[in-house]
Amino acid sequence: MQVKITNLKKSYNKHLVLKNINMELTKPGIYLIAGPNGSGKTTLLEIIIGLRKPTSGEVLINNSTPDTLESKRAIGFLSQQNSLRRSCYVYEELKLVSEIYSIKNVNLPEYLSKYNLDEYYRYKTGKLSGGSRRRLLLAMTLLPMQEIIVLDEPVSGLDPFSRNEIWNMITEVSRDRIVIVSDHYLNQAAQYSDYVYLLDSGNVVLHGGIKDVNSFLKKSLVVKGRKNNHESIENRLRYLGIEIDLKVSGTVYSYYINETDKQKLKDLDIKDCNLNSVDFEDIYFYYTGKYSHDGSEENG
Amino acid sequence: MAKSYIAFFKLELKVLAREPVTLFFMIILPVILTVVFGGAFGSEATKYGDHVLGIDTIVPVNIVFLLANVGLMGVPITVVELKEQEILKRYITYPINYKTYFVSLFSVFSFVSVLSTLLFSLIAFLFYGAKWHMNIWDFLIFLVLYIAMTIIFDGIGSLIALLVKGSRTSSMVTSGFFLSLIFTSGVALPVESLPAVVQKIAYMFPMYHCIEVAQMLWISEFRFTGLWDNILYIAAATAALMVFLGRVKVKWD
Repeated sequence: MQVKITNLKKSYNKHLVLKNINMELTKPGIYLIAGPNGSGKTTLLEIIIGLRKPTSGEVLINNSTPDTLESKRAIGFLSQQNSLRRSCYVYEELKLVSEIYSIKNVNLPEYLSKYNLDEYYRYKTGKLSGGSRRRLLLAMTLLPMQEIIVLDEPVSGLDPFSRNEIWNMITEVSRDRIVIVSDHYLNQAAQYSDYVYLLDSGNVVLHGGIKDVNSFLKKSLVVKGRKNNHESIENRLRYLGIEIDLKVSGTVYSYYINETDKQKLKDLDIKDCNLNSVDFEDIYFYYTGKYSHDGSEENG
Repeated sequence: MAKSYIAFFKLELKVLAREPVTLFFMIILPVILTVVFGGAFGSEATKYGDHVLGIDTIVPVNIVFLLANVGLMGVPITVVELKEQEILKRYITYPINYKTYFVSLFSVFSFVSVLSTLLFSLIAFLFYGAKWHMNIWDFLIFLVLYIAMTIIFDGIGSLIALLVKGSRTSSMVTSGFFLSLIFTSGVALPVESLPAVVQKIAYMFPMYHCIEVAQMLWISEFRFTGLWDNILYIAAATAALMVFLGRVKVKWD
């Protein structure tokens, strides 16, 4: 199993959305494609599965182009929207998948029980909650047991509990398959992913194993303050002899600090700012100067 | 591919059976038109002679109306909905030939159209004194015409659905086009009574030509010499739409 992307570029009306993307995925695991809305994640995933054509460059799925039947047999795809027929029953949607992929000897209600959906077997999909619909779509995507799975924001719009539930399911299947997942809830996604590609404005700004990416950034602490008091925070940090690296996003001022300066921070008055360990969202911000989302739901 | 075709056919048939509004337009409305026009003019003699009653000219018009309604309203509404909800995206990523899903969708609409045609034709025969005029050749040509009309109207509907962005815009385009066809084809008003300019526009639309040929076949008055321009139009439109449909693909960009 292999996904190979070489010099991939994609533009819409002269606007370059993906700028020279290169990737070679050969090992099983979860590959996180991370980035804020508009960073090119969906475009990249939809080129991989053959829905969109690249402007230049090449994508090969097990040495075949994505639009071939061989590639389609090898790749399962979950789109961003809950793409279920509202007037269909759960069992009808599953049966359609099993008939198209000629899947036999699978007890569908039993299969659904793995996703806690067996009680909804005879429900119309329109009556399911958002989380259940997402779980059903994931169950449908994973039913044919393809070796490459592409999931476009599988946990988007779900509550933290449902997000964790779906991430656990994804982790389970990633042991022997390449699972490419896009998400903008970076901290949660990073907990489950094995590899990461950070996308920003169509470029891969950082990639590697999740642990490697965490260690690339030598700063381990971050002090965050607001625009109205940033000068005071900065002066206090400099007074303590702390080496700082400043990144600004809107009214948020983030001062990245080396691990070696941790002791000096004990004397810092933090009543008007926050001191935290650097998390994955901070790493993304450090490299792109942007947050992947507003962070309001980041508590999973 | 046959397995996938059958799987989609079964699913689409079930989905259609659960859509009362679509079923109303596909089955109930043609029956209502048969009852209303059959009751009003069904028993009157026509310009084709005493043996051809009004109901004999109403049934073929009803058939064309049904196929145009299905193709220009039913098909685009379904395709646009599937496109907007990304269901079509999911189907296209399945390991099937690109056209498998569309062929099965058209097959379901055609299957229900045939059932509907049989139903209102039967009502016309049983209750309004319609007579069977066609010989075997007329009947065979009528079957070919039925298929050609399905291709034309389903084709136009699909093209609108695939090329026009947004459900609201495509619904306005299809409704506007369908209404234009109704008012220029002789269904609502006789074409001869329309202003000269409108008559010229009517010749540009497929419904007018389809009605001309369908009516003449149905009452066994079909002569190639008198209808060659209509036949040529239908043949050219069918061929062009088949080629176009074979090439056009859904754009996600």
